[in-house]
Amino acid sequence: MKGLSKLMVVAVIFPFLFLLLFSSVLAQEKAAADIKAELPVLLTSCGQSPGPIQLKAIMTVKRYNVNIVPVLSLFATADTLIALKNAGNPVKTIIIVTGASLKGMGAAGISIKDELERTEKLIAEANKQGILVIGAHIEGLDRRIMGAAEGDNSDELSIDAVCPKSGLLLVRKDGNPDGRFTTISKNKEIPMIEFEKNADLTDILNNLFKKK
Amino acid sequence: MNILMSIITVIYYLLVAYTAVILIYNLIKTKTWEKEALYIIVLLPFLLRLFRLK
Amino acid sequence: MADNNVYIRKIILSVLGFLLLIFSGISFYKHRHLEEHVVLGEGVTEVKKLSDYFDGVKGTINDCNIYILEGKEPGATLFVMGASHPEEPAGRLAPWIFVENGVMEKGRLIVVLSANRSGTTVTRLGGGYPPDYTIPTGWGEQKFRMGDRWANPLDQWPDPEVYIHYPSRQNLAYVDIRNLNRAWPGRPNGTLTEKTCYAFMELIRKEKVDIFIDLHEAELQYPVISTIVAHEKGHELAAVVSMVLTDMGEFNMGMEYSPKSLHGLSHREVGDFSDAISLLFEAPEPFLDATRGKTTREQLLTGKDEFIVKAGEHGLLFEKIDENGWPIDVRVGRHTSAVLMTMEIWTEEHPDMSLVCINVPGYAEVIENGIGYYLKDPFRANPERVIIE
Ligand SMILES: [Zn+2]
Repeated sequence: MKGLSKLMVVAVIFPFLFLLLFSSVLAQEKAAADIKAELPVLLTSCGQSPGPIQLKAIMTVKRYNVNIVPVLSLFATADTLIALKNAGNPVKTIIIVTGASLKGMGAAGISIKDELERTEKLIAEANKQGILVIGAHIEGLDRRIMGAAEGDNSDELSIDAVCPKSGLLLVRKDGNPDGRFTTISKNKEIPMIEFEKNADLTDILNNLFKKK
Repeated sequence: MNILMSIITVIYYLLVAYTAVILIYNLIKTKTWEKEALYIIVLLPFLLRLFRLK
Repeated sequence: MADNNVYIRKIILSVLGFLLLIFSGISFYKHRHLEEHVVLGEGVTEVKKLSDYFDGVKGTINDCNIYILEGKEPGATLFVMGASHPEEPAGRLAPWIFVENGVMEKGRLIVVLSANRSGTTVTRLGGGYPPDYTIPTGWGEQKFRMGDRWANPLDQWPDPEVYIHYPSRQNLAYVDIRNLNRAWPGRPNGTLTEKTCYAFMELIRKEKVDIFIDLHEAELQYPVISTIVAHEKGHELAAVVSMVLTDMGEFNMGMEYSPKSLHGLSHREVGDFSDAISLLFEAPEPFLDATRGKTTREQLLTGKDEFIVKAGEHGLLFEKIDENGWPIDVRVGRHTSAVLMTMEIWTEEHPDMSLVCINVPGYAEVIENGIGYYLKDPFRANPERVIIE
């Protein structure tokens, strides 16, 4: 008898919980889809992985049919934003691709610490100018701690420096197996667009920049 | 530089030959079987290089 | 009496040692002189020698064959290089499939199967490596020379204390003076390895190569694996190729920048010293891992190794591995697909300079049929179309 009543409670609560969960996911998706970004868009990196190059390729090559010309500045600083503004060409959106590349940073003679500092100032200036900051993670496990050398947490540091301070998250699903970005999105109430294939970015970017 | 490398290579092969001869000499002179086995094993790579096999 | 025993013992031990010398010597000699047959596919329009581009390698062991597949219609020129590191067999077998099967409809393909030919005649000294490996085919087995990362010390000697790269003057490990992928762009009066690189640079300049691809394999404990390393001239091309390949879902392909401060590597120097875009593709090869178990032909071709699986469980690897290993067909298929995809993406962006290749199998086909399916029987082919590599 007691077991049955427990079951009843579960039977009542479960669909309720499910509905609650589902509606929150739905709400989040809706919020993400509602967000509109404006051009010009600046592409930069936090950690110097080649992600921004990939994103730029999606925006420019024929195959993806996005046809946006972004400002690519891998080492963009607060001064870059100020300079563009003073030149009468203020940036409206910044996409910061997270993920570290030891080769990229080593070649440029910088460390993850430099990258975190630069990014912090960049985001502060962006907020000041009312620029939409989009935190992106688009290279999967190659740019997560699971795909890095033992003890190398630079990928995660770059994610922490950008994603919780973004207005929108753009995440390729295979880079989020542990739900790290989902957690950031929930806790900070940041809308997140999760996608499976790089080619999905065509629709996402066209929608985001009101091209459809 | 190439001439220098050629000269060093010639000297190197002479050294390899010399070492091989010394090893064979020691092999003949020694009285204990452990040393004999050791000399033979050590000799092998020298001969392989001398005959340009590896 | 005791003296007699000593003499008999010395003679017995010497005979044993002599036998070891004979057997190992025969094995090494046969390895160095193993003849590999290449059956020219219908797409091969010309076979040149590396010395046609630079006299300095004439008569040396590194005067390798240059296979040219001229397209029916004009287009761009792609140069695919195999055996820059001869201990990475997928980097050699993938271009082999292009030579024996590929036909260019548009553009021109130049293929090298033994970039460091000297390195194909030796394996790691004291490493107990197999001297060769065989690929099963429909007509029997085809045997290939297993090679080393470095040129044979019989062909280039001595090594310095420190290898000073030309022209950057960067200090590199002494042994890398015989590493073809640390000697770019080379020089005409340098070591054999430098001369070889210089000859390839001459080829790239004289044939007006647009894209240069260097095929490699890497150990799973090395972070640069399953990826394209791209010179800045090739960033966009590499980005799209890696994304499209990954999207196809067959295998994951990453992208890395070619570091500007690391010298002697093809992805850096070929791009810097010629008009060509330089790319380097890496596939996984468990045989190269220091934590491997047995150093056997089987491990080389199946890529199965429980010790490396163990290393993976401890999070020490940059690529996945399970009990299925990394079979050679999978590794070769990655390379053929990646090269074909490079042509496709390039052509999309440069329709006036197309690269279209047919009859070369991609990843799924190579795995389904096996590499052997694409290797031709040299004894039943027209003898005029058979080349010794
Ligand atoms: Zn290699």
